[in-house]
Amino acid sequence: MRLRLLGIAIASFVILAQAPQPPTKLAPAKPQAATPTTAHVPQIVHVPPDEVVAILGQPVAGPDGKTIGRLIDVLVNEDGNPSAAVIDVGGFMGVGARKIAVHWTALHFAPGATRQPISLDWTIDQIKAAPEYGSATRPAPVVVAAPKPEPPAKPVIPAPPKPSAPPHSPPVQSSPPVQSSPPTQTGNPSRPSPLPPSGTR
Amino acid sequence: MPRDGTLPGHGSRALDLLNFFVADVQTGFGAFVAVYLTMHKWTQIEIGTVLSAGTVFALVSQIPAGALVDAVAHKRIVAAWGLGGIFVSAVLLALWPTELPVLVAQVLHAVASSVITPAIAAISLHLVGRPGLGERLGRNARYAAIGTALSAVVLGAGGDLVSSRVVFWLTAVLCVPALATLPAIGHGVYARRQTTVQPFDWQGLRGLFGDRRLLVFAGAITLFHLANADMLPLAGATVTMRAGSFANVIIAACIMVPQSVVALASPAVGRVAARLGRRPVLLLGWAALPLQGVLLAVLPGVWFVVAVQLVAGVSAAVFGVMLPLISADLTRGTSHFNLCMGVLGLAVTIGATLSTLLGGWLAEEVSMSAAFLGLAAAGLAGVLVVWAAMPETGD
Repeated sequence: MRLRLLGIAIASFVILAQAPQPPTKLAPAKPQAATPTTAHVPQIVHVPPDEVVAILGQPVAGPDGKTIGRLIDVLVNEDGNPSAAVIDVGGFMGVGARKIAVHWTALHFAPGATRQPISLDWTIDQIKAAPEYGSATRPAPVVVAAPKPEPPAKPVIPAPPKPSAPPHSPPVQSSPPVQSSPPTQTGNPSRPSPLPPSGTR
Repeated sequence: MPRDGTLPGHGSRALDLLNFFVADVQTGFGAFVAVYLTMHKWTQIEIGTVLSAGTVFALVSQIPAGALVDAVAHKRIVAAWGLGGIFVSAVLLALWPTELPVLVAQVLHAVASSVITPAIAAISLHLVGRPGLGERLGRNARYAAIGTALSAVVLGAGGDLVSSRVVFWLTAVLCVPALATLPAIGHGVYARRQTTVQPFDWQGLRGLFGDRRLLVFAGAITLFHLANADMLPLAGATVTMRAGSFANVIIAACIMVPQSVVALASPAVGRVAARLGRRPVLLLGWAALPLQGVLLAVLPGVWFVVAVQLVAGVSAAVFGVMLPLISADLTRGTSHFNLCMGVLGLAVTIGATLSTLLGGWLAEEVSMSAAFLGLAAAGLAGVLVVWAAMPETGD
């Protein structure tokens, strides 16, 4: 199935901590807090601040806890599920920063944490090797392969990254151009369909 | 003879400080604005829009700003207005990182910068006159380089350790000492002779725009910045790609190294240009760029990238002195010195804007090495233009 990623500029993207989280980290959040009690009456649901985290513009911590960059965009698929995050890494006073797109499952979120609620479980070498992410209007090189040191990369809920996987997913990374198109021009049929990183249910 | 700026008089020291503080207040407005807005949840599209608005206003304001500085007899008042604009711009950014204030701040900063650069050159000319201008411009570049290097470190550390807003508050605060230097510079002994008498000097205007040397130099400058502007950002991205966790320290070094060279070499550039002529100095500075591009394309590792910045310092030192110096050459006997700087400033802005597009496109579509080689090719074209078509403009 052809996957369409919509690179969407999301003003304040709030993830429910429960949704696309690898089950390894974090005790599963309590979904009942966000469940409406009645089905008919429109209700305002108050999500406690320790269950969600605003991510746009937030620093992303690397494996050693040091900030490696900032999360600047989220790429979602047809179903609205996040497929990848664009992170602005490195740089000094804005010079030398580069954007990389990482697979959503490589990120971990700690909604309650005051410092660095977002972390990326990649090694520095993996971050260095990631290709530059251009813009949402062109094929996006999203690094899809889950990093080695994380064994349970498979049981991720929204992203079984296998069904039509070309034989090019060694454990470290490869960078197939994931189709990413602006909402108007949805996908280019002439392009070979790359490995769908997520959303294929 | 030694009165021509070689004596570090009172006004001369104040002008040193003006260059130092103006460089300080400009540092935060560079690439950092994008980082700052990202931290305030701006999307990439919104950031691109306001930055483009700033670029457009920088383009259209260059020539009118030059003409304005020419028309006003009191150049220090124009400089004060420019600094005031930068102050307001910094305060707006620090207080309200939201759409309208940031847009106003970007536009205000673009216009203010277009005014300040020619105003400082005009103040320098008033202070030392034409004979001492080369050396004076060298000193300007020296103190500006020291200001840029120091403020990059201080603002970078402040932005990291305290908050990103601190960068713009410090910028606003530093406008105050910059303004305070203006009265101390004094009127300038050469002010009378250099200031325009008639506001519309059609003869001189026609002479300036019909001058083939202006066209050639503007072309050489466009090619110079086409090669130059994206070189440091791409070198920084290379460092980020190769260095990992210490990348920011190494990029800071990449910013400091060329500024140190400029601080050391600029006065010599001014002196040599006055003694041996402009052409050899121009050729040296222009030739440093393609060399830098080729070296960055072929050398591995990160420390080589830092070392190559020494070469970048040579081209920066030459450029910083030669743009105002040749403007003064081309407008000798007319009252269009700053208009000429505005025209050349337009060439700088066009070249720099295209450089970002060219470098980014090559890096994305082909490779980083291709991007460096592409920029080097533009630099080489600039060398050829200077070598083949640029006559000696000194006396």
